[in-house]
Amino acid sequence: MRLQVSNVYKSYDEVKAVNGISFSIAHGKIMGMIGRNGAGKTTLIKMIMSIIQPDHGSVSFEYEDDVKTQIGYLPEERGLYLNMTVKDQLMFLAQLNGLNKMEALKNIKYYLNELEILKYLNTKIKELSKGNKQKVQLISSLAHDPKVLILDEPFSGLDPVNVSMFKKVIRKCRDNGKLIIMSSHRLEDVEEMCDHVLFLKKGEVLIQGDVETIKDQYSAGNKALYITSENIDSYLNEKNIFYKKPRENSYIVEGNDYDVLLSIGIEMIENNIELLKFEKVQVTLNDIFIKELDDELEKNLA
Amino acid sequence: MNWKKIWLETKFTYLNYVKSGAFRIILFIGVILIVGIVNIDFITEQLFNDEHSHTIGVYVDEKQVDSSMFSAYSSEDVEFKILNDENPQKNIEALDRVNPKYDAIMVFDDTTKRVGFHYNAQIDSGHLNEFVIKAEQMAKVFQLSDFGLDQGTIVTVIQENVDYFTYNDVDKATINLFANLIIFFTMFIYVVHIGNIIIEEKTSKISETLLSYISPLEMLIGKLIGMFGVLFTHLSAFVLIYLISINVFDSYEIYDQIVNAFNAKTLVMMLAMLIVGYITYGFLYAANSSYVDTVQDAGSASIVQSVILVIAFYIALILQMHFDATIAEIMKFTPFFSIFSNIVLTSVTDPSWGKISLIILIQIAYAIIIGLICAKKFRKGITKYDTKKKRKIENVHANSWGH
Repeated sequence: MRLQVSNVYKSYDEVKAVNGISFSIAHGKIMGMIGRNGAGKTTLIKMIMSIIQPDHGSVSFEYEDDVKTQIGYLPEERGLYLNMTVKDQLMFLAQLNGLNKMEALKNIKYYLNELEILKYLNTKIKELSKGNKQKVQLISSLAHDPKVLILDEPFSGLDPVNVSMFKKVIRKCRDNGKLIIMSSHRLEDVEEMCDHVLFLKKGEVLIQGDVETIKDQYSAGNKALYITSENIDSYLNEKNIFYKKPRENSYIVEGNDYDVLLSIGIEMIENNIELLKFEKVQVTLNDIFIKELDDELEKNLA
Repeated sequence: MNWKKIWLETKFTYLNYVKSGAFRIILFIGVILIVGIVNIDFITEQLFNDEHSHTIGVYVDEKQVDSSMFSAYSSEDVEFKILNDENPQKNIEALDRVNPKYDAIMVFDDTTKRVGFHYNAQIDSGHLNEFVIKAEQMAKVFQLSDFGLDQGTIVTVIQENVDYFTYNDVDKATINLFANLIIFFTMFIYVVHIGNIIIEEKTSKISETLLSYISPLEMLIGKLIGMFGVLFTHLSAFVLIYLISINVFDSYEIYDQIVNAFNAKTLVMMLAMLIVGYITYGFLYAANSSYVDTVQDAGSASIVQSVILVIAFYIALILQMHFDATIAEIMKFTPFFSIFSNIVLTSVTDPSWGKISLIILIQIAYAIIIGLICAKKFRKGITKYDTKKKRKIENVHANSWGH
């Protein structure tokens, strides 16, 4: 199965929420959707779920007829009936998606067990802790065993133990062949979990592709960190090497390729400079995100 | 349209409400009201019955009027006492007190041949009517005695000579009011609750979750049917409690009166208007509630239809008190406003079954049209968030550029 989003547009009054976005993702993959508030993530999610229709363009799932009932959705702002029990709430949602009572209860118990809250089956939602409510919400999106899983800020408000538990369940879903779309402001999580990334800005795609490919693209020019035992400002100036100095005796140097950076390190040793640490600086999605924002700011200032 | 999903939403809405405290509170209040209605005579008797005997002081020249007349007019409830203190003014002024010695003072004026009846306004209307009739009769005796008529002729003339026969003693207006009140409270308890559910789901983002499983229209229809189920449960429970109560308290008087006064046409019109009104206002409340982003906006979402509902009810009340055929005829095909007045129209004018069918069919057509428009509005509203905020942000940008 493959999700194909082709040139979709959506406007609310005069606000262009989504402006000509296209992407494609296959099952068994996780796609991370990144963007600031108002970038168009939620509108795009709603169009994928057919809750709203695009003004132009199309959203389709190849090789699937009735995908709408096979989508599991975890919204950013959690919404549960607080006076209902966990069982009643989850049974209602699972049955709405076509499961019979037996199947629904079996799946619900399985996920409650996976997330270690089976003992709360007959507890009212309002009596649960925030983390457990989040777990119930996640189960509500998974109980009907959907082929597509859309997770809007799945880790927000969770403690590290629960984040780890959520990640385990999400990875398991990916390994079972589900197509997962995950929106998050926690870029380290997107980098860790996702195969693809879609970086949105003001309703448009700024960057998209495999996470590793994007990181490589932004790593072009290579950077290396040198930590020395003494100040080598004059040495580097003498050699006409441009550097950034994040802290005392730490130098980040940018080069065309890795060999050049390595040779700079070797040369330091040959010149009796005590090199305490030498490592290639890895670019992160966070760096890319901030760089893009800086570029935008510069453009605006210009 | 997936009816299985609608059924699930219906069941969920129904059970969610039935398990809530509101369901039990309405049931409890209903039981108290019903038991109260069944025993209304007993309660009225205990609370308002004026048991004490009344005394009416009489100032009269005994040479002019045979004093035995006053004994003849005295009864268990009233005693006419001839006063000889020659100071009527003092006793008349005393009537202004809360508990005067005399409940009324009658002054027979020899000069003018008129009778003054001064009374304390605290006398209940039933007794007052009785005393006034007796006073008028005594005044006639007082006047006729001057014409030299014999006592037998006078008694024949002043005696009541009209016989009263009572039929259908529960007024039609009471039945209209009863039917309209049921519909009015149905709207304000159950239909408004539909709006409240939608506001709650929208503001707490539950609808965002639900919409991935169910279409807005399926969701709305499920809620309407679910709440109608709650209404039906309450009404059934009230009827059952009423039937049990009249048996337990052995009080069939009001039951007989209602059954006798309620004709088939009024009943059919009432049921039709109940359903049509429920659907029309249900869709209207749902559509407007779907645009609410925060709980603070909830009031403004229901104000328009609530005002329409109250106006419609008052039009029916006015028609009930001063029936005007022209206004009733104009009203019968008006959407929203005719829900209540059609019951008055049916009860008062006793239209043909053909006319009743036509009125109901037109109201159903209105309900379908309003339902379709509101469903479209609901679909848009329930999927739209924070539109007001976006507009505000746009304004900020515009202002910033302006500066």
